[in-house]
Amino acid sequence: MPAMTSVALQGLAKSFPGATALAGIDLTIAPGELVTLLGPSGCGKSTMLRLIAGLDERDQGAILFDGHDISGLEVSERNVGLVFQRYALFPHMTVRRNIAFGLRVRGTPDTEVNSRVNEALDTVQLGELGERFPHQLSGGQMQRVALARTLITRPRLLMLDEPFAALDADLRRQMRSFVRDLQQRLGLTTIFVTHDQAEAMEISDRIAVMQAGRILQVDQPETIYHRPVSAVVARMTGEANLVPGSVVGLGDALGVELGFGPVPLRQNGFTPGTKVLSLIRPEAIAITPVDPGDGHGAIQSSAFMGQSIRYSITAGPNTFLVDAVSTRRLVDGQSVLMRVDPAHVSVFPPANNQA
Amino acid sequence: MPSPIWRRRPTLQRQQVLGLLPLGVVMIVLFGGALALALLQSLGFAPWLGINSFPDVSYFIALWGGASFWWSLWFTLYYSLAATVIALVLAILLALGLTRAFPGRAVFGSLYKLPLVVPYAVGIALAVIMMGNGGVLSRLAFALGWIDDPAQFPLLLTTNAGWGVIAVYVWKQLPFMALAIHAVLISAGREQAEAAAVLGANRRQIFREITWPQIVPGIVSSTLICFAFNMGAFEAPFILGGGFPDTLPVMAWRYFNDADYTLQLQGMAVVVSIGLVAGMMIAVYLATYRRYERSLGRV
Repeated sequence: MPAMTSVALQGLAKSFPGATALAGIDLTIAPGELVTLLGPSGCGKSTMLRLIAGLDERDQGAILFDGHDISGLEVSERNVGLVFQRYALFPHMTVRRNIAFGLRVRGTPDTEVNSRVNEALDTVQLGELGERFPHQLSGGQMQRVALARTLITRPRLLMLDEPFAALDADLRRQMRSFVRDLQQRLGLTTIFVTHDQAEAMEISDRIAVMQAGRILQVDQPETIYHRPVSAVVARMTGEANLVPGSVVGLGDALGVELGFGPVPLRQNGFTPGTKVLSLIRPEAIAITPVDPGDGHGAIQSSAFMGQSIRYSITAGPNTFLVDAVSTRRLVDGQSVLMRVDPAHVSVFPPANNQA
Repeated sequence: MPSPIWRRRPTLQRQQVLGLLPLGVVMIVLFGGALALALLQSLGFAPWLGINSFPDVSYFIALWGGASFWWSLWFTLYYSLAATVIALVLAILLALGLTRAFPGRAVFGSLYKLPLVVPYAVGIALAVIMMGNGGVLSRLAFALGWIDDPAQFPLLLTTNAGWGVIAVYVWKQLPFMALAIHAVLISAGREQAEAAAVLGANRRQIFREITWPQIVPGIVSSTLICFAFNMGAFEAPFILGGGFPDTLPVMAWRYFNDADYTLQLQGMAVVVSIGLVAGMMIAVYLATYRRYERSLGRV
C-alpha cells in the first residue's frame, strides 16, 4: 500500500497563447483525502492535473509532495497516477499487459509483476478478463482496467480526470461508489475532476469550486452547498433560487425581503438598505396549499422529478423553484403559503453577486 | 405471396451491380487484361508481331540464365529498398517532430508536403542541378575551399551506388510517408503516450511500446506503395543511374525500344519478373505484418 502523501499547490499558474488556464492556484490536500475539482469545461481543472503529472510545464508556482517540490522532476519520476477521461488504455495490449505496463517499464521482476497484476485484477473485480483486449471490454470494465493500471504502481497521488464521463448513469453511480470505497480502503490521496456537482458532492471529502482558472471556494460538500461564498458558487453547486432584494430592519435585528415576507438575517456585516442577493435552495422552501388570495404566491408549473415534485412559484416580483416531497401534486394556479428556515438563507453582498 | 420488401431486394442488388459495372469493366480490362497480356506475351504469344510459340518459357530461361538479369535485380532491389528504408526513417522522425509544438510548425507542416505535387521529372532535374559535377553542391564545396575545382566533387550521379536515384525517391516519398504516419499519430492522439509516461515509461520505452504499434499500419501501407513504385520506376534510374547493369525497368525499356521488335517479348518477361519479385516480397511483408497484428490482437 502506498504511503499517504500530502500535496500542496502554491501559486500554480499556467497560460496558453491568448488564455490563462490557471491564475495562481493555492490548494492543500491532506494525506488520504479526496478533493474534487468542480467547475465548467475550460476552467483549468484538467490543466491542474496535467501540471501535477508533469505533462505540461507550469509558468509559476510550486507543487509539493510531503513538503518537497516535485516541479523539476520528469513525468516518469513523479510517481503519480492519472486516470484519463477516455481511459487511454493501450489497445494493442491485453488487460494483463495494460495493468502490468507500469511495473514492466520500471524493471520489476516478472514474478512480482504477475502476482501484483493478479492482485490488481482482483481489486477491481476483473480477475477473469486478463487475456482480453480493451476493445473486448465494456465502458465500466475499461474504466476498472485504467484504475488497476494506475493503482498497481502505488502512486503517491491518484488523479482522476472526469473518469465517469463516458459511462451511463447507472454505471456512473456504481463506479463512484466503487472508486470511493477503493480510495478510502487504500488511503490514497486523490484529486478527482468533474463538472457534475452531484458526483462531486457524493464522492468528496472536500470540493474546490473552480472558474476561469481560479479556485472560488474549497470546503466540505455540505458547506459548499449550504454556505457558498458567492452566487457563482451557489449556481455551480446545485439548483439555486437567487433572489435580489434589500436588507431591512426587523425590530432590533436585520432581515431580508424575499417576496413572501422578510426573513431574519443570520449573517453579520450588513446595514439596512444594502442591495443583496439571497440564496435559498429549492428544497429549503416549504409550501402549504391555501385558498385563493390567502397565499404568498401561486404555482405556475410543476414537474415530477421522481423523489420530489418541482414547482415554479411566483411570489411578489420573484419566481422560486421549490422541491416538495409529496405524493400529491398541486395543480397550476394553486395558491400556496411559503416558509423558509432562516438558517437556510444565505445572503451575498453586492461584490459577491456577479459571476 | 412474397412481401414487397422481399421482392424489392433483387432489384436493389441489380441496381448496385449495374452501378458498379463501369468501374468493374475498367478494372478488369485495364488491370486484369494488361496483366494477362503481359503474361501471354512473355510466354511467346504475340501474333500481331508474327510470333506465336505459346506456351514458350524460353524468354524466361534466356533472361534468368544471364548474369545481367541478376545484377539488374540486385540494383532494382537495392535502389527500391534503400530509398524506402531511408525515407521511412526520416518520415518517422518528421512525423514525430510534427506532433510537437515549435515556432513555425504550421508553415513547415505545409512546406514539407511540397514534393508531393511536384513531378518526379522535376526531382530528377533538381538532383542534377544539386548533385551533379558543376552543380550547386560542388560549387558550394569549391566556394568553401573544400575542393580546388568543382570537377573534383565526388561523383554522386550516374554511378551504381545510385545516390541520385535514392535521393530523388526519398525526396518524393518522404513527405508521402510522413503524411501517412503523421495522420495515424494524430488520430491516435497523445493520451496513450502520456499515460505511458505517467506510468513511468521513458521516451525510448514509449516509442517501442506505444508509438511504434500505433504507426505500424501507416508504415506498412506507405512503404508498400513506395516500394512497389520504386520496383517499377523507370525515369530516375534511367537518367541518374550508373548505366549497365541497368535496373529491371530500364532493362525492359531497352528491350521495348530495340530495333529488333521481337525483343518486346523478352521485355515482357522482364516486366513479369518484376511483378513476380515485387509480389513475392510484398506477400512475405504482409504475412509478417499480419502475424505482428495478430500478436497485438488487432486481427
